[in-house]
Amino acid sequence: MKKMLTLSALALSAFLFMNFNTSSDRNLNTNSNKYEVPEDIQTIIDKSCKGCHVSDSKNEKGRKKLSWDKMKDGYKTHEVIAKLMDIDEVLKESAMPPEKFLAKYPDKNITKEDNKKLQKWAKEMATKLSE
Amino acid sequence: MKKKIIWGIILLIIIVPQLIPVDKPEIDGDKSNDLITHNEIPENIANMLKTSCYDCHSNQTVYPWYSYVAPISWLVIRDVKVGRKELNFSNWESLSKMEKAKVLDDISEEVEEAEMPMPIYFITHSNAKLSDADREALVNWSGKFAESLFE
Repeated sequence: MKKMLTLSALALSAFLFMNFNTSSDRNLNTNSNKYEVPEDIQTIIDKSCKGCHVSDSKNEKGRKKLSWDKMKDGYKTHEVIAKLMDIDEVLKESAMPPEKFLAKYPDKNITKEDNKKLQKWAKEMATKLSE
Repeated sequence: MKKKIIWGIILLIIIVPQLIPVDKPEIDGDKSNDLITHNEIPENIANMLKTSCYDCHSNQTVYPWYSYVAPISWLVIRDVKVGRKELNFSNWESLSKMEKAKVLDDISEEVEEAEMPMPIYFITHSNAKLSDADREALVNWSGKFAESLFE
């Protein structure tokens, strides 16, 4: 009898735990399985963007505008898409990385070719996520 | 004689600019792609959009009398042109889902940082001013509305 009780209590808590897990999953964005960054793109991001655009960056403006570490499962879908569109826009205007930053760290510059590559990826990813 | 010349110059300065042809963005009442017409938008938000945004960000511009007088007309025309190009609520339904997400995100940022409406607009449209609570409501709405597009 006691064993039964323990077992059912265990089953109940397992059930509750699972439920709890799925409900918290639901709050996260639904794009994490669709969002992918190929290696060559990741290299560009690591080199030229992550100096400012990560959650623990000291650059408040950069962090607030875009934190790359939240793209996969921190932001909501519409936010990820908006950010990808913004990325496409600033790259088109060659507005990022900022000139001031590049004056200090010229090696962080994005080549024309990489700029195009990153733009293409951002646009395609935004399209994929909005489907 | 001297006085006459001075008056002549003043008149020229006032009149000549009026003769320069301007290309005023047209008013178009067509609501077939209008944001407010085709979406369930809370009344307070719809009112804010109409009074604070629609003059420059839709084809339903209400041109005040001074927008017919140069050089102010040039300023008004430029703002309406740029405004419609950036975001035109009259074309809302023709945007893709991802374009809508981007625009809503931009709206939220511009409104939150009080970049929009432009302060110069308040000189003659004091009712277009947004309180902190108004701004918060708009930011919340744009986030929720964007989210609802992907549910």
